[in-house]
Amino acid sequence: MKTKLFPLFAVLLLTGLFLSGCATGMVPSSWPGVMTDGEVAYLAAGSHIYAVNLETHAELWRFEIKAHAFAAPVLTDDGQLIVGGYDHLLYSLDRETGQENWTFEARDRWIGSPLVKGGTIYAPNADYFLYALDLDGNLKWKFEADQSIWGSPVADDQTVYFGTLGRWMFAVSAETGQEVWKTKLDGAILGRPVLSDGVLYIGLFDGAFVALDARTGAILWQKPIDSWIWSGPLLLQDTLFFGDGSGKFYAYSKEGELLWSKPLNGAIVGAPVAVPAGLAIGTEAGNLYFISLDGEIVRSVVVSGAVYDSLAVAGNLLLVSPDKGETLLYAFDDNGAQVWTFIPSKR
Amino acid sequence: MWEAIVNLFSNILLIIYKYMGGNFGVAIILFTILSRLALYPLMQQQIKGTQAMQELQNSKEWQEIQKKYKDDREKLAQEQLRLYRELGINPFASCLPTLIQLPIMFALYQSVVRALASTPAQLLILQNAVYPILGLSDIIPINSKFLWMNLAQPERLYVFGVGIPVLAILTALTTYLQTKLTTPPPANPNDQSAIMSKTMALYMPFFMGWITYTLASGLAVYIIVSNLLGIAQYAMMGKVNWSAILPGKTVRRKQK
Repeated sequence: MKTKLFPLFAVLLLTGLFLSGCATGMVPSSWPGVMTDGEVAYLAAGSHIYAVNLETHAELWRFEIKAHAFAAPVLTDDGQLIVGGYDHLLYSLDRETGQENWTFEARDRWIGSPLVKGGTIYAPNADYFLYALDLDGNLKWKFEADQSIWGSPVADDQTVYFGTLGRWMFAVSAETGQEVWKTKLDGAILGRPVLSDGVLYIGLFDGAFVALDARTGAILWQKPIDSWIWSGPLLLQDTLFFGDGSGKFYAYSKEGELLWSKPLNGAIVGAPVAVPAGLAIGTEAGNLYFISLDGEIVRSVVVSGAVYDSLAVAGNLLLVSPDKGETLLYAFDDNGAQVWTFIPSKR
Repeated sequence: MWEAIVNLFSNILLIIYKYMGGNFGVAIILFTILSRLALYPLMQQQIKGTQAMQELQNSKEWQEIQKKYKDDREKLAQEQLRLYRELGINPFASCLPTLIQLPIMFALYQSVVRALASTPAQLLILQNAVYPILGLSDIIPINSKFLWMNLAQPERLYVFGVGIPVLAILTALTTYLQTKLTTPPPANPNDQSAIMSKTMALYMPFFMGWITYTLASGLAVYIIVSNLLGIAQYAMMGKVNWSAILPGKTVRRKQK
């Protein structure tokens, strides 16, 4: 009987293995997020948070979480490293040792980096809530938006601003979490807005770049872009820089005038960072570009995987964490020369 | 090839979602109906094959062969295969209605997870997979909520703080019912196909229930609807064996 039933059990076994494989393969993956305080790089990559000494490029500590961590960690003034995981937990770690201080649990994934301002952690979650916590991880207030919040918030002294996948831009009181205004835009908001002189600047997933009055939420101007915009812009010397899904890199004035655009190789998901040569931006094709502020490509290098939102600058070092490959962190100098790499030891 | 199928399914789901009110649960149900319609001719063939198998088991020729080779199992098996070939019967016909859905199930599971794009990495994959005509930015964010469920997550209905896996239970129940109702009563319970059908009826519901307990609930919606449609298809052809779920009647048949 056992022999005759073999085909049946084989099918069941294969199905189980296949679906388990699917489940593993379909476990929500993420790309690395990196930040630095100038001496140490903090890297959220896969299911680990790493601290890497920038002088010795040695691993100082690593912290394992149950699921993936996606966004770049943030630091508080009192020495905490705050990082969210796909396990619905927001972790506070000791920046020196990597020991866990506390966790705060939400109902869904932490995708956008939190904002730390004035002793409050403003943490967006995919469960539609923006959470405001004190530095001990106690909830001060929470605000329910219309949809998942993937982008990090920005804030001035009174108000916190953030966008949702549901195309709404919200402004809420930093003190109480009460809604100040909300404005419906044409596309999902995935990135962090830039706030400057009372104006919010943000790119939309439907391919538009928008400026809003931070006081009222009124749309000041809106420019159509060739493709989707994932990340918020970088504001540098009164110019807004960002890329789109077609691989085009743009420079806009704060008044909405296109100053220049440059086609690059591969979709641009992340935001650019300021470097001594001007700007650095990575693409999905694995290219890293150094671009002057007037749009000249100074140099480009290729890394082992796609470069998403995973750039950070420490002095004259540009830190890059590509999506694939065993090298978790590349450090480049001003000339685009690779200075060192960080490959975590196997444990 | 596999990627192309998953992408195709994802796009079909999203097209239905876009034009049917932005409800992903409804999209999965309609997709299931479409896939059952596409498989209808094949299923009809299988139903006929099952019927032919039953007729064979009740035939005089087969009973004589069984009597003649009762002490020679190898020869009996050879004769059985010969008869299958001559009459064009597939001995696994009773399993096929369930087994045939497996590849669709694999692809659908991946498609549901892909189409719901609940993380940035998944959204990026979907962005590259979706057909330009669909206009992904028009339908983002995709609403993964259906009734009390999040279709991208395993389902639990919380009653007084206790999570009840309603869909997993319904999956196991409908799988059991489909297998029992669509499998004709065997003439000889010790026959190989009868043993296999019996084992299938026992193990498959647990297996399907376990799958839907652990994976995204969108898959459970597909399996439950598919099972119900399967039973309906058999019922429309008058082939449902209602006596199989009435224990008293089954016992009487065995005693004949």
